[in-house]
This record gives sequence, C-alpha cells and structure tokens, in this order.
Amino acid sequence: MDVQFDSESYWNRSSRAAFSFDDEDEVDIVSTELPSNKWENNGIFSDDTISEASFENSPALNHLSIKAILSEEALKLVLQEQNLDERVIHKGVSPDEELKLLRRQIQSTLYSPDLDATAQKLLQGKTAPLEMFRSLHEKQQLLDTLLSNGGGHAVVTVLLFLKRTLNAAQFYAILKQRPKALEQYLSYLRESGDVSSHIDLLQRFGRHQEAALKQFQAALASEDAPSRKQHLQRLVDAYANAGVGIVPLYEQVFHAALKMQLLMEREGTAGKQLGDQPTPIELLYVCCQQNNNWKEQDMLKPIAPQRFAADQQISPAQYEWTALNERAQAQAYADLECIFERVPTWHPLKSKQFHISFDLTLAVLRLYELHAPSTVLQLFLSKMGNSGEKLALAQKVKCIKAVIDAMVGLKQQQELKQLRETLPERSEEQFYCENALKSLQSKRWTTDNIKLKL
Amino acid sequence: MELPNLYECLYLQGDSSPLPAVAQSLRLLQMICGPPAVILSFGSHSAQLLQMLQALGKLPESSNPPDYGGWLIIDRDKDYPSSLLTPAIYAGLLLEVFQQRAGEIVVDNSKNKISSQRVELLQSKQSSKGASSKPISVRLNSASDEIYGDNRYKHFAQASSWIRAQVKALGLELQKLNDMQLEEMHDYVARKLPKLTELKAKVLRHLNASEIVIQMLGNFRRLQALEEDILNNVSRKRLLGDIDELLTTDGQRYNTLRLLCLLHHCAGVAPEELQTFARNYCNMFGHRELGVFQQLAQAGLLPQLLPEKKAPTKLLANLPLPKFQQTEFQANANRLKLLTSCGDGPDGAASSKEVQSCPSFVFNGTYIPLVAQLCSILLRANTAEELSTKLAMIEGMQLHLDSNRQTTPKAYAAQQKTQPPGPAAAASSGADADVFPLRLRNLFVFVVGGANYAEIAACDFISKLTGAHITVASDSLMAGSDLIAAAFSN
Repeated sequence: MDVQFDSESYWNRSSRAAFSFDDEDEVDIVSTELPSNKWENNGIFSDDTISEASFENSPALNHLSIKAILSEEALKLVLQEQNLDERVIHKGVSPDEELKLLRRQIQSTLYSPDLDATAQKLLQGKTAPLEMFRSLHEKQQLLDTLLSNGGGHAVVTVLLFLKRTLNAAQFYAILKQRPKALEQYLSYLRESGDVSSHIDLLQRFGRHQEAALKQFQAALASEDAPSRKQHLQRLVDAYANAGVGIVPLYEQVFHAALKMQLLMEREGTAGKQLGDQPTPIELLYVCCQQNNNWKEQDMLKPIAPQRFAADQQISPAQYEWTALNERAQAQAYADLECIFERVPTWHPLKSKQFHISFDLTLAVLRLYELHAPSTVLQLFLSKMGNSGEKLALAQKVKCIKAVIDAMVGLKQQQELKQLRETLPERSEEQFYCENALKSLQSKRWTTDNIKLKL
Repeated sequence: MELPNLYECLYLQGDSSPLPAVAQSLRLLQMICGPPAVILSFGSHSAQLLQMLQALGKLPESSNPPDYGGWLIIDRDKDYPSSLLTPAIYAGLLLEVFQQRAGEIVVDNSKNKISSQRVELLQSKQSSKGASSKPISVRLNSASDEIYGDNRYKHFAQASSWIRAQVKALGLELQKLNDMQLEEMHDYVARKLPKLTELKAKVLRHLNASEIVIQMLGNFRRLQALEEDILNNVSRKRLLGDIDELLTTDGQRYNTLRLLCLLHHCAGVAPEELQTFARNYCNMFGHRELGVFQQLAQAGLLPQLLPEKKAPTKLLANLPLPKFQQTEFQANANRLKLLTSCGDGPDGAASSKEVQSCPSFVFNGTYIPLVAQLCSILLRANTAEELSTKLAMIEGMQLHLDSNRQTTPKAYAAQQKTQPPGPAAAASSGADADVFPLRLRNLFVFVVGGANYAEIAACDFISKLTGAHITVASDSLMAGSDLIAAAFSN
C-alpha cells in the first residue's frame, strides 16, 4: 500500500509535466482539467480509497477533485466503459453464486448472438466472444455493423476471426465487397511485417503498382549484395514479361537500381567508402573523385562520371553540381572549366561554350564557401550577363577584380576611383583597377573594352 | 491525447482504426466540459468521429454548465497549406528546425532536423568547430519558460531581436556589478544574482536556438517568395524549375518534397512533371525512396502516377489552349478569403504594411489558416443565415446541433427561416432557437491528424481580436516536414 501510495503522489506531481497540453491551451481552467481526465484513462483511480486520500493530501497542487468536474453518474459510466475485462467477479461471493454467474456468462456467449451489443463492446475496445456468430450471414452482418459504426481496431479483430473460420475464397469475396475492410486488413498486414502475404493480397486485388513497389522495397531490404541483385533481377524480368502495365517511372528506377548494383559489384573499390546502399549522387561523387582525366572523359569506362550520369539518368544540373562540389573540395579548380564547357553538338567546329544548368549565383556562392581562389570566382562571375547583379555578388564574395569588371560594365567611373583609393598600393588589383579606369576614359567609343574582360 | 501515428494511418494508408480512441477521448471531454450548442465538422474523418460519438451512447446530464459554446472539428487534409507553408512565428520555426519530443526540443549545435535532411557529401565542411558543446533541451511550455511564453506567437524577427536586446540588457546589469561597493555586492549576490543567472541561462538557450534557426533558414526570403508565388499560382513553369533547382543545389529530404506537394495542392502538378522530379529525387536520396510518391499520392498531396503511356489522342489536350482551371484549394480559398496577398491593388499593399492586424501574419501575410478563419466566422456570425452565406459553397461542412441532428449550414439556415417569427414560435421551440450568435463565446478546436503552431498562433490572435477563448487541441503537433516524413516511415 505504501509503495502504491508513493507512486500515486508521484503521478500527481508529474502529471503536468507529462502532457504537453498546458502549452496548447489558451484557457487555464482546461489545462488543469485535462490531466485529470487522463488519469481515468490510466485506470489508476478505479480503487476509491487511494484516490480520495491522495486528493486530500495534495491540496497545494491545485488539482480539482474529480467529483467537481464529473458527476457521479458520468464517473460510473466512464469506469464501466474503460473497464476492459468484465468477467471479474466481486469478492465475497459464495461458490454457488459464482458458479451460477459463470454459467450465465457462458450461456450468453454461446447461445445468443447479440449483434448490437457485441458491436458496441468491440467499438469500446473491449473483448467480446465472437464464436457465437456461426453462419456466414451473421458474420457478414457483424462486420457490416462495425464498418458502419466507424470500425477501428475491432474490424481487424473480426477480420482475423473470419479468416480463421472461413475458407479463403469466401474471405476474399468479403474483402472484395468491402474496400474499407480491405484497407484495414492491408494496413494490419503491413504493420505485422508479413510482406509476402501483403504483396500477395495486393496482386490478388489487381493493385499491381503497389505490389511492385512493395516487392522493390523488399528486394532492396535484403541483407547482402548478391541476394539483393538476384531479387532485383527477378523483379525486372517479371515486370518486363508480365503484361501488367506498370508505371514507367518504377520500371526506370528498377533498372537503374539493378545497374548500380551490378556496377558496384564489378568495381569493388567504388562503393567501399560509402555505406551499404549509397544513393546515385553519392556514387557519382566517388566516380568524380576517381576520375583523373577531365579533358576527355572515357565514355567506355562505366565509372567515368559522365557515363555514370547518363546510365543513371542523372540530370545535367545534378551532375554539374556534384562535380563542382567534388572538384572544389579537392581544390582541383582547373577541372571546373572542363565540366562547364561544351562543344555545341549542332556545330562541332565552333569553339567551346560555357554552359551551366543552374543559377550561376548559387555556383559562385558555393565556391566561395569552399574557399575557392578569387581567380576562379572571377571566371564564374565573368559569365554573368547583368552587371548590376554581378557587382552585388562580387562584393558579397569579395572578389575585387570582378567588382572592377562589373563597375566598368556599369560605367561607374566615380566609384572606380574611390575603389582605387582603398586598394593597397602597387598591388595587382590596383593595377587592374587603373587599367580599367584608363580604358573607360580613353576608349569609350570603341569596342576594345570588351577585350579587357578576357 | 497524443497519438503519434494518426496522420500516417488515416491519410496515407486509409486506415481508420485509431479513430475510436479519439472518439472516446472527445466523449470524455464532452462529459467534463458539457456538450456544446453546436459542432461544426469539416471533412470525412471529422464527420465519422461525430458519428462514433453518437454511437457510443448518450451522455448523462452534466451538473456543470458547459464550458464551450461551439466545437470545430476539422480534417488535416482540408487545410494542408497551413502545414506545408513555412511559418514565420517563433514557435513554429523552432519546431521546423529542432526535433520535438514530449513538449521539449533539443538544441544541438552539430545536428538538427534540417541539416539531417541534406546529403552530407554535398555540404561544405565548415561546421566542425563547436563539437564540444553539449545539446541543450528547451521546454516548449509557457508555465516553465516565460521567455518562450512571451514570444512563442510573435513573428520570428521580432522574437529574435527581443532576445538579443535581452542579452544586451543582461550584459549591462553585470557591468553594474563591477562598480558596486562591497556590501552592496554582498546583498546583490544574495538576492538578485541567482535569479539573474537563471534568466541568463534561459535567454542564452533561446539565443542559441534562434541563431541556429537563422543559420538553417539562410535563404528564408527566397523561400518565402517562392511559397507566396505557389499560393497565388504565379507562372507555374518557373516554380517547377525553381523547385528542381532547390533539389539539386540544396536538396532537403522532406522540405523540397513539401514544396512540390504545396505546388500540387495549390496549382496542380501533372503526372509527367512528377515523373521527372521523382527521377531526380531518387538520384539524390536513393532508389529506396520510390514508394514515397505513391504514399503521398494516397493522401492527395501528389498526383497518381499512371501506368499506361499517354495515348496519342490526348495530344490535343496538351495544346496550350487558354483554360480557366481552378483547383479545389483555390476555389475554397477564394470563397473563404484565405489568400491575403493576391490582391496586388492598394489593399494588398496595405496588408503587408500592417502585418499585425490580420492572422495571416503567421505566414508573413500570405495566408490565413483555415481553422482561424472558421473560428472568426463562427464567432462573428449573428444569425444562422449569415453563417450559411459564408460557408454554403463549401462541400463537406456539417453542422451538428445539440439534439443530435445533423445538417449543413445552409439547411439549418433555411429551417430557421421557415419558422414563423413571433412569440408563438419562440415558445414552442425553446431548443430550436437559432444558436447564433453563440451565447458562450468559447470555442474548442480539434484538428484530426496534427495541428501546427501557425494555426495555434492564428487562433490565439483571433481570440484576442474577438475576446473569446479558443482552445486548440490535436493528436499531435507537427511541422510541415514531419507531415512529409510520415510518408517515409514504411
């Protein structure tokens, strides 16, 4: 008793801390009421004496008595509803009477299938005997009553009972007619981890897309690489010949996953430093690390970054961003030009052009974050068309030469002069600035100042 | 009443088994607080909940007067934007950035909810400095943390500058200490210092938290502008491109997907567009995330992918004919006037100036959470007819009156009208008198499937405006990324 009592007072003290309700409630009365509501759920106060005692002992805790917020009648109803097991027999009953009680209970369970009462009980989350529902019709009725009342976990209880007592064809027929019940049963299978019967049921009801996804996830979840490969191979083959239309995206991803698995198997070194299942981008990153010829990528080698990106259908933007990050981390800035320079396919003799698939600003900012030298920043900044934006960005990343370029573009002589004063004497930047100023002053009417940018 | 997986079960898997537990809790609440005069439900799950409440049997007469004049029960999927948008208030952003458990958030310098969504390899490694600092936890509870209590519903900029000012004030206070005489100092240490150090610890905790938030949401302006454009459906094509670029250059597992979901919800995304996005997404985060798209489609957050290749006849539909299409969201949002920033006329400019005059401040003046708008409509309706003109056009809205009758707002108004006015009617229908305006100006709001701080803050604001009490409850508190994360759990 003493121990119990201690735990009681513990509950009183900590109840406010345990529930985050106070926080959501704007009304203060409620915040004190709700925790006490919670207690009843715990069933702690089913024993009267203890609860009374603990209330009297803790007046300072500002808890209302349960009677003040809930009428006697309601309290009884709550307790009765929350009581899970009704077959508890009160103490002090003579053996004869106990026998009678038990008999009556058995009789009621075996001979009078009371549909509504059972449904009500199940809905309240209590256990109720289902064995008295014998005929198929009665069973269906029970299920339908539950479904129309909103169901809940009781539906699964009944479904499992049906599965146990009916043959498979009847069971599936019942599920087919009741899509709600099917959903609940499927989610039960998912929760219980019974993957194979889950997939089986999905296929039986013509939901091949979901089934394919489940199979794919199951394949990826297999533990070692060889069995993963095997599963994937089987999956790809199955859907190539099955004739059931499957979302093209799924097919693509299945193929890509298989390809990657094969690649990792062949090039053992590639995936070593990554986890067990790297993402395509991570693998691309590693490919970039291992690539040592950026001028002319060998498209025959499967781990050449460009080839890998093509195989995995990695978008140009993703490829460029990954390569940019990797090369900059490795401080191999010279390779950056190769990544972003393309020979236009429609005119192979034309000189290479700079091409970037995402916002230049983002590239410059990232390079700055990765401590790229200012010449590299200047190179990227020089590709920006809008001089105003260029100026702002160049100032942000502290690339003085690009600032000067932008000012020349904007013809800001005044600002250029001011800038020259702040630059250190006889530094490279100062010369650059002076040259820019000169060109701006003297050759205003020629197109020569374009040359300066190069 | 916290039920952690309710959203996942109800909306992603179509499994309504946890609902009875919710119904029982609501029933208990009705016993304690008394049945309200009117319950407004919006959405199928909410309607089902109320049906269950009735199936559970009649309530015994309560001895106490009822605490609430009206209940509002609403499905999460009726108002996705308020979850998907990034909130601008302090509490909302804390929840965006930090992991919350049992009303506490853990502030850790080295990792948080946003940084853990990114692909590590593509990050610039610069955050290796503060490795020694221990994670601190902050309780999101106004009773134990007055700084949080004061600031939780303020705009983040306001809150963080307030915290900074507080830090400065504390610094000055400590400087004063240096100039004191010995006795003075003695007294000071004995009386004031303990309080001061406690306050200092709290302030510092919040300062730290808000600084991490700023760091994590570096490009908040841009995100905000993007979200506003999505809401108002400005140049869809560019939006798609922007989202794709975000995925490439700052891919966040949940938040990027969340933007796409928002776009689909507000403006619609075609299956083909989703296909390209999903391909890039799988490249970024691994092939195993393929199932997510199906899950989110289940909840109506993304379009279903179609198995067959497009039939050539559909080419005609692909021609850029000028079509006037409205998604359900846009229609409803316009009816309820949820979008505050779309009017680019003078009123649009006015709303941005006086941010604090409208509950949309929780989203920087772009959107009013549906819950808040419904509350203010309920509280301001003077007759049943007024309510019905405001809500009539919206499907799925149900009105439940005291006597277990179930109608729509429109039918109820019509019924009120047909009753002959006069003393005879009033005498005969004591219970049938119009429940509006609500006599008891307290509202209880329950969101089925997770509320968020933006909604709570907006309701708080409405309650201040109207002088009513609004209590917001739900099965859990979720940030938008938690909502998306639910789709990843299987």
